[in-house]
Amino acid sequence: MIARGFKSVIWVATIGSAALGCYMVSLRVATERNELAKVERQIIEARRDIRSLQTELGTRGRMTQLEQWNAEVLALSAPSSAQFLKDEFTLARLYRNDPTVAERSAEVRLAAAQAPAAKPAETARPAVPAIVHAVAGPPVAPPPLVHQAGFTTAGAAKAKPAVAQAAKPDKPTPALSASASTGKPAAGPGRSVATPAEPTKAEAASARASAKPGAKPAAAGAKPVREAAAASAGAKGQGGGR
Amino acid sequence: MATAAIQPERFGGAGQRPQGMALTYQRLMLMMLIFAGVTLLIAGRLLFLQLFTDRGGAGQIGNPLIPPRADIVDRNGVPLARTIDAWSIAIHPNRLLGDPGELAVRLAELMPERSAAEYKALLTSGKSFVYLSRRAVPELVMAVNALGEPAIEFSREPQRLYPQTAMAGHILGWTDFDGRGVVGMERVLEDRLSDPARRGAPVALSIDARVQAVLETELGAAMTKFSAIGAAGIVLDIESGEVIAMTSLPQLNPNKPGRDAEEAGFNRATLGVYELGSTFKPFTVAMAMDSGVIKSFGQMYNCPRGLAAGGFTITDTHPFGRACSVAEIMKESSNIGTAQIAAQVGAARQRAFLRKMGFLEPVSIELNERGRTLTPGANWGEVATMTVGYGHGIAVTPLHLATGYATLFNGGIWRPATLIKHDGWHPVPEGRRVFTEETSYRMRALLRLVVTDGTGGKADAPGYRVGGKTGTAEKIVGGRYTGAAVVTTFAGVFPMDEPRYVVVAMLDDPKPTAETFGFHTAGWNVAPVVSRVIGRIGALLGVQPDSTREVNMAEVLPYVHKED
Repeated sequence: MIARGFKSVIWVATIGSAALGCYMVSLRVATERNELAKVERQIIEARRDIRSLQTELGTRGRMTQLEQWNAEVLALSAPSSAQFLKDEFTLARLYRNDPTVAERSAEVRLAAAQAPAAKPAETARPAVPAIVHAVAGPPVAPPPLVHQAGFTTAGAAKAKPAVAQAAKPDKPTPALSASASTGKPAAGPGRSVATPAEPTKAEAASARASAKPGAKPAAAGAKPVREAAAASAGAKGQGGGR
Repeated sequence: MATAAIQPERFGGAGQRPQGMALTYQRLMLMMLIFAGVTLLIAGRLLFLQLFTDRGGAGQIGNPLIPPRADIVDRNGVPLARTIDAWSIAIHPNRLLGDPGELAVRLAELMPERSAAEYKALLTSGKSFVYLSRRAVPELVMAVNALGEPAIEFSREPQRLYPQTAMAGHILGWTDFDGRGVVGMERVLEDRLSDPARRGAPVALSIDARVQAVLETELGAAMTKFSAIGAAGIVLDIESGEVIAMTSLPQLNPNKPGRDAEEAGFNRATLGVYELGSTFKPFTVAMAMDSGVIKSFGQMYNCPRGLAAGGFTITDTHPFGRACSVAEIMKESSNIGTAQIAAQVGAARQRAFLRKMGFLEPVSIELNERGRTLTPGANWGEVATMTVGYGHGIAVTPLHLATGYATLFNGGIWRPATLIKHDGWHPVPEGRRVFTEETSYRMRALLRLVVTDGTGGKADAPGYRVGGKTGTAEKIVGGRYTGAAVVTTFAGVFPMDEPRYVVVAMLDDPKPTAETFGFHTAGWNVAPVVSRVIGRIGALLGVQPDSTREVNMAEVLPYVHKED
């Protein structure tokens, strides 16, 4: 009986609390929505700022202004056509191994003497594979592969590398660079070249050197493109392995 | 009905009571249903509003980001024209509180565009509203605000800003006081720029800001160096006809139109027509090749020291005085040889070719500032044919010349020049064939020869295989040609073994200098401009310089007589 009397009150309380709960939820949603709108307004504000700042930056850093700064302060210029390289071999061509003191002391003379007559050098280094000399200049009687390399130097680039060597003393002579390349893989770049007494190293290097002769005449400034390309194609496998 | 139903209940007996109760319940039920229905309706409406008004609100919030007028950007998205909210300073002279004399002095200090006396006159005029400064910088606004005059009003108004200032000013044009385009692309694109549906997205022009800057700098330097009165330059994509850069000097700043010299408003590239001289010769040779007049570059012509034509004598700057080949005629830019070739082509064919290249009508480009070309018209006889053959007696715009060269070297197809970037919405037009593909191919070696061996030597940019033709045309002063004033032009194409871009540079009335040994011909003043421009823009445009590549010169070199 009492329960029945309170029934309506319970109903009212339930419905009231449910309504209140719903209202609370909707209020909460409205608050969140307002927050969202505020954030969106801030985003728009920020975008506007970004736009105006971009405009200002673009106006201050306009092309004519940059040009003027460049003319007055930086003095930068467009890269010349020589600074564009076609492939990695052209890039490798720019690498110059500056000779160390030890390299400069004796070997240069030896190389200069080698060019006209290779015979004395041959006798001086019996243990070194003939390939190294093939690079150096007019070869003695080498194995077939070397013969081909010698042909490149003597035939196509006969005049040019010779002239280049004479005209540009700062450029490493072929003999020097060849010996440098034999020394490099075995003992590292800082190592002296004068290692003909160590036949094992020279032999170990000879396989690598066999790839070099073709590339070196090209590096010395020889024009023939096909030969250089052929040499670089031959050297590609070698380079990839390294 | 309700009252009618109640009546019997009031007067009816007890037997009718249950019936009356049922009726009452029915009515109550009906009322409840109506209430419930209305409540449901309101709830549904609320729910609907809750769900669907949200997006509308968000959309309205997104709107302020859409500018009142669309941006104009270059082909890489660098802004060339934008609308910004700028401060404007205005005054209500009739509501002035302070002393006008004192205020005028202070204003003149802050804004020296007008003198103190002018400000005084303005302040005492009694007008209701006068702008003191539009597009004022915030510092100025703060300084003026610090004067404390309540009659001064500050407001923010949308204003058109050209961030690159004078760069490409002739192309962009400017807007009037109300923000409507009046000149240049602002006018051409007026509908697109102000369309509320599309103004959110910027319009991309075909211009490349970097190339434009280079062209303007180099041409400006040459113009100063040779004291020329004007200059024009164009870089054109050979295949699509897109204008990569186009300038006319002296420049004008669209940010403050009308404040530059009157002269600056004149667009030399599209509005000015000039006799462009020897740069026409390649067209004549190509016409002759297409017509079957020239079969080989070794074909010989008699090149005396003077050729009588009509009432005057055609002369050469480098007279041969012997028979010379077509290759030599082009290399040394011989008027006499070209005139003979043109005469062989004939007036009718020459006119037909020129019409197909669009040389007889205003140049095809979006701009409204286009000049009418001057042609011999009705007097197109043999003499006119000969002079037109070497670029005299016909006046066209530099842009005509650029599209002509594009036609000549893109395989022989004419396409209109355009300032709108080509994309999915703007495909490259089909164009119309003018020259055969073979002619187009063979002309490459001929124009490369001009640069490697001939008059255009200074236009060469190492590695870029530039080919082109110089042109020095005497200006008509007082109705007759005078050697004192010339228009020098260089029309170049690079890379010549695979043509991609045309570069045309023109100097109006350059003076000889000590550096040019007293010459004022194109090879001395305008060709170096082209060389420097190509050296700077080549890599930007994706042309890799390569000194190992060269045009196949086998067709021309055997026919050039070398004096040892």
